[in-house]
Amino acid sequence: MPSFGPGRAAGRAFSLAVVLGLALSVGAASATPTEPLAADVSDHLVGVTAGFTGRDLLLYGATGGEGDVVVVVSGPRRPVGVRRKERWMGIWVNGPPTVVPDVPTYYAVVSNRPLDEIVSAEERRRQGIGIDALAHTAAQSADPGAVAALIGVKQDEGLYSETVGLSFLGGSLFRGTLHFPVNVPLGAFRSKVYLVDQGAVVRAQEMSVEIRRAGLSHLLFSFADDHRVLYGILTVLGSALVGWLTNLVFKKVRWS
Amino acid sequence: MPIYLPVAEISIELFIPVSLGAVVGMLSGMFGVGGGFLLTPALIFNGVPPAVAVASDSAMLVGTTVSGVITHWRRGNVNLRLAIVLLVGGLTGSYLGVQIFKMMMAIGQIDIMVAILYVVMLCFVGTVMVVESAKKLLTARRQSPAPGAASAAGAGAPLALRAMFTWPAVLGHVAAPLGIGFAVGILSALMGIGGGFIMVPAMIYILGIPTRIVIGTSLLQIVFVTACTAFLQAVENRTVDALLAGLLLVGGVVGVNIGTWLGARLKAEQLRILLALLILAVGGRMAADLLLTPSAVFSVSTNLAGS
Repeated sequence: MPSFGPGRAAGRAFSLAVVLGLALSVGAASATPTEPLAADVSDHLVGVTAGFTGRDLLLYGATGGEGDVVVVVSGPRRPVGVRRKERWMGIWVNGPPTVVPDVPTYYAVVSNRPLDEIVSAEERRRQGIGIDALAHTAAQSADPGAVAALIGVKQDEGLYSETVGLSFLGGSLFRGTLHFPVNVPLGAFRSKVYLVDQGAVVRAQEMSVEIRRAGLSHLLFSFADDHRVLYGILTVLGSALVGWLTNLVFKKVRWS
Repeated sequence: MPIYLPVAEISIELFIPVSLGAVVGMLSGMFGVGGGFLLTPALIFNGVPPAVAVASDSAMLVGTTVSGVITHWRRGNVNLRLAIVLLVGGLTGSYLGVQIFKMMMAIGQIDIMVAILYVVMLCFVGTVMVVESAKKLLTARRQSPAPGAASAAGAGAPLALRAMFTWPAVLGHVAAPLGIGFAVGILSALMGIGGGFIMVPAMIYILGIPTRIVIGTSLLQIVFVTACTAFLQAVENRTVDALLAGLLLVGGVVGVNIGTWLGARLKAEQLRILLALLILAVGGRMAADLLLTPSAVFSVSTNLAGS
């Protein structure tokens, strides 16, 4: 096979090759009684570097038969405080927080058709697929009003979403894009690919994506976090040094 | 070119902090004021979390002020004994300010507190400057040819006045500079400012110290108080973004020097009223954010355990 040259083209060719390889292996395994499903993402590690503006990962895979595909990506789970702005002496201040004890910091559902056309409401709740299901679960241990507000804020921030972003490349191969915005929380992400037939999940596959600071960004942050005193001293001294050097430079400029 | 700020956790266009630093540095070079207190709001308007904006400004101010203090030191405009008294108050104030900052972060009200302090201060400073500039413009018109920028350059009081700052005289007034230093130290930590615009008039009018000495000495105080604040913010609150501070500083040091050069050549008094109006506009926008019904009623935060 001729080379497609360096860079993007090569990356695409590689991805395509992997997809085809997967398809072949799926074809070989199609004798098994359950509907087969195989999928992967183009990268399992997203580095948040100094130039980070968000990242798209390619998700690709193949199914062995009929059905739709739904991918659920969820970020690390945390307790979250929801505050309502209140008027206090004429100005707007943050009210006391209502805690929602356990929700994902990021939640995205990507499917090949709108979610409610693919999976039945009961199945979504049972499997925990979709923002409605997430709200339902969270509301069992927290104030439903706070949960609804939380979901609204997260959707506005682009951290909770449901999109139709998968497509079948004819037959059983599918591909799509997982978008991680610039404000994506860091940590271990879980993504689950579901094969759905007639409103119910017939097969699921799990994989993980890790999002962490990298390069200069990682260096600075971990330094600021692990060596607070030294970081403080160096920042202050660095700033003073720059000031002193420019004083020298500009004095020279004026004299010349 | 966008750049990701690791502590602020946002992506910002590289030219924004650099040019903000340059513009603000230029203003402070021209007028001697207008540094930190325009920078923090400008950063907040550009999406930097207020707590990070305030703390990173402090780190940047160390650099821009060092340059000025060296110049004043060489000219003998720094009164060390006065500076020490100011600093004792200033460092104590800075420590207390960072503790208050930490507490407000813990109860989730730091953004509101920073906004309120800025609204009050910007409106106050803006109004005072407008009134002063208007007065000066009026008198200048009556006396025909304007005296130019020379008066703003701290036309130095007679040398005899400096003799007043011997130990006994300073000791007699130790409480006043101590108090001024303390108050400015607290504000410096809470707002990410140097505080020269409060300290300079206070020292001239309350303590009656010559302008030349006041400017040199207050700059020395600002260097150490902002250094102390930046250090404490890094240790206690982890809100100092060194990358942000560095970008601001790169623009700032260049801006200050251009501003100083421009200030000596332009009729600063007439430009001063424009600066005052700018300050009022920024204060007005921050006030509007506090007073008008917010578009987003809810906010969420994950750092509950950290409090």
